[in-house]
Amino acid sequence: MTTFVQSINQLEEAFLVGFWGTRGSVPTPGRVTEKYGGNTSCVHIEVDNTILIFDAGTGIRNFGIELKRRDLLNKPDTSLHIFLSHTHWDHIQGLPFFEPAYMPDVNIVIYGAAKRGKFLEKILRGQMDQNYFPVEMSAFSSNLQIREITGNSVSVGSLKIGVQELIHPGGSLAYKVNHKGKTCIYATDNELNILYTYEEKNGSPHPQKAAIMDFFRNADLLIADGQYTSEEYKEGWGHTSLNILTKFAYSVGVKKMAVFHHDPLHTDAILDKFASEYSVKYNSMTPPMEIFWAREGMIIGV
Amino acid sequence: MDYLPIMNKSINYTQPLSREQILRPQEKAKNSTFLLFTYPEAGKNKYELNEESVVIGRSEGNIIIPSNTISRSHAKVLFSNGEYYIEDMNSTNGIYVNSMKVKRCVLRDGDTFQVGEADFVFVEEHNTLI
Repeated sequence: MTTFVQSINQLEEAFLVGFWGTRGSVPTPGRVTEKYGGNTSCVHIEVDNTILIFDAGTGIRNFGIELKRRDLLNKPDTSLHIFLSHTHWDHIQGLPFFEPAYMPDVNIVIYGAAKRGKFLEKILRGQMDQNYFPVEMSAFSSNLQIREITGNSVSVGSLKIGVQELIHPGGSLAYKVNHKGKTCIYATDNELNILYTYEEKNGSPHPQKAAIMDFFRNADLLIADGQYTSEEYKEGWGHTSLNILTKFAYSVGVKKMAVFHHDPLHTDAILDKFASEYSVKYNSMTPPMEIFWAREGMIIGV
Repeated sequence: MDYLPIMNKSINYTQPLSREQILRPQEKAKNSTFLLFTYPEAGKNKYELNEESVVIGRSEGNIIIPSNTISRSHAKVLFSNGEYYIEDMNSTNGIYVNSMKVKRCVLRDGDTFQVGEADFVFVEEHNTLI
């Protein structure tokens, strides 16, 4: 009988995206969130044998288990590349529970924004200070490197990952992966509403508008922050409302969009309702844009 | 009323209670997980899931659906870490969960998925004895 491990390893899709944590702000377990999931941000992209991980929210714990299950961590040259959008709790809190970090033969590179006066390594070590967590980061026995991103791209093997600053208190980075003519963008914690309100108030485009539009343009898959409805939107909290997200994504020619970073108050029933409303609307447009609500435990091809 | 053994059966209180005796009704409840599926010319069908892998295919597997829209071994329902998943076995036409094409997806009660022209519903029944 074919086992689960053999089976998933046989997936031949060249460009896979897996969702391991889709919730925003705080883990939200329970019966009313079990369909879309309660773990915080973590997505993986798999291109041939390269594994990229986006954010280390609580969802990364299950992805660590998945990597062990697939027996991908025993090879001496195993490398995992973790790209942090930023260092707010819901994007780093799973790191101390990521089993591969404690495995000596595993190489891990963590990438994140260069912070003004606060080094990324110091921030990550800080959350494992014994005031917050019983095991310090020095217990990580993997070969761990922490790299601060200063340019607009990062190379991992033959892959070039584009980087774009988003609009979020304290900053947040979006990442773009190109492979064989297909593009996937991970862009969470981003307040696109400000692009529009800024222009209304100032009569000129927001300084980041053109760069963000160019970065998102014609994406085959955009994974994007859609935490709020227009009624729930809170200016300055760093997240986008669905009406603005869908309008913006459509305007730059996104082909498929995974709405991500679900609000902790949004139950499965509420997200189902959003998915139904928006997918019908944008699927019927010319050209259509496919929209779905990212769901923990789902793996798709780009 | 056998879910309340302490109330209804003679128990020797000098002996420790067995697990069976102390289980609460919810803990004794037997859950039932199954697939309901339909495809042309075959009407409605039901397949019980027992925490084992189930292959769906045109000519190979546990659920055989003789249709040209279905690959020889098309999709697999897997049980892993306490969860059921549906997974594409590199089929020609792929699989769709709630109308979305996926390579793999965890299944929750009420999820629908399509394998070729066959429509499936994943059902988890929590049968309490109350």
